[in-house]
Amino acid sequence: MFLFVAVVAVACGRSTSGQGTVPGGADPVTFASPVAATLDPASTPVMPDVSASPAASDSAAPVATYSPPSTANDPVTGEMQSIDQLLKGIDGSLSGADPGTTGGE
Amino acid sequence: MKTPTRSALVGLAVAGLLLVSSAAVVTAAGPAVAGGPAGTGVCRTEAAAIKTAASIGTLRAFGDCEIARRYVTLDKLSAKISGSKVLTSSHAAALSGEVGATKTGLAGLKTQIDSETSLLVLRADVKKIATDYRVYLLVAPKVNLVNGADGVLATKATFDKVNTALTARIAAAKAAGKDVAAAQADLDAMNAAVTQAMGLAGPLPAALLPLTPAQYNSGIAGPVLKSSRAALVQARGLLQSARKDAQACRDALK
Repeated sequence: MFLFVAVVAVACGRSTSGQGTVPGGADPVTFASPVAATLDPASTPVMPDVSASPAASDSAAPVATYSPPSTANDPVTGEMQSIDQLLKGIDGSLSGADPGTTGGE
Repeated sequence: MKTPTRSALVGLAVAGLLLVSSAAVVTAAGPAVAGGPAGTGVCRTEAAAIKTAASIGTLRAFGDCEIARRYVTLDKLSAKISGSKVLTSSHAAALSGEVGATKTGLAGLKTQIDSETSLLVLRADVKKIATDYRVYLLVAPKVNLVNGADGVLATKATFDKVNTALTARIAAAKAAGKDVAAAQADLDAMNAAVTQAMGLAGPLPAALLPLTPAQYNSGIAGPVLKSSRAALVQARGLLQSARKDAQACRDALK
């Protein structure tokens, strides 16, 4: 009878939390509670959520899209205007370099 | 009834008048002082006065007028140099120095002209206004051509920015599956034209800056000025072409 109680007590102690004492035993037997371990987030194994990760999915790579900037917002527009100004300056220099336009020596 | 002898005499008289008239036209169109200032524009009245009666007074007035005309031109050149956004600092300094030295030289010549009492020497002094300084045939073209050459060279940085932007745009369009062959060809043409223009303009300042009035008088400077101007015209054309290529590239990517 005593042996039966002890076995049952040990068996129950492993499946419940806390500290179990085997009646009549010399030392208290301490064991971790599997229930408590299950509730502890730190010890919970993290499984990757495959459905939430596009990288892990087997779908095709995202397709690149190209849309040119509008003329008004295009930085090239400003550069073109700078070039136009420089070309005007060159025209002015060429005109000034023509001896025929300077009144003659 | 007219006799043949009388008709011949009238004809000869008419021909003689025409010859005299032609000679007068040639004299009026030529410089007031042989080899000297043109005597056109603002100094036309002073030039005409010498042709009517050459004296110390008329010659001096003409010389002073031509020097004053050059001061105005030199001041405009100074303003152009100091206001230029494309001239390199060393080119601007060299040109400013030349314009300043020309003004100083002309001021000294004016002092001589104003104090000269010999008509013969005064005529030689007035001639020097043109021959010793060559303001219109050398200095003004030099300032403008160097400024123009530096202007061509200054476009390089801007075209480089355009090249960078359009290269990135071509890459993006290509990654998106767009046919970029035409755009790439336009961009290549732009870069080739810019490179060619830089090659034409690059050597011009070094060739132009050392030219002197004496070199102009000896026939050395004139051809250099002429070829430099032709190179600059060609470079300008290439840059205009490059600009069109850039626009075509841009349009091809739309």
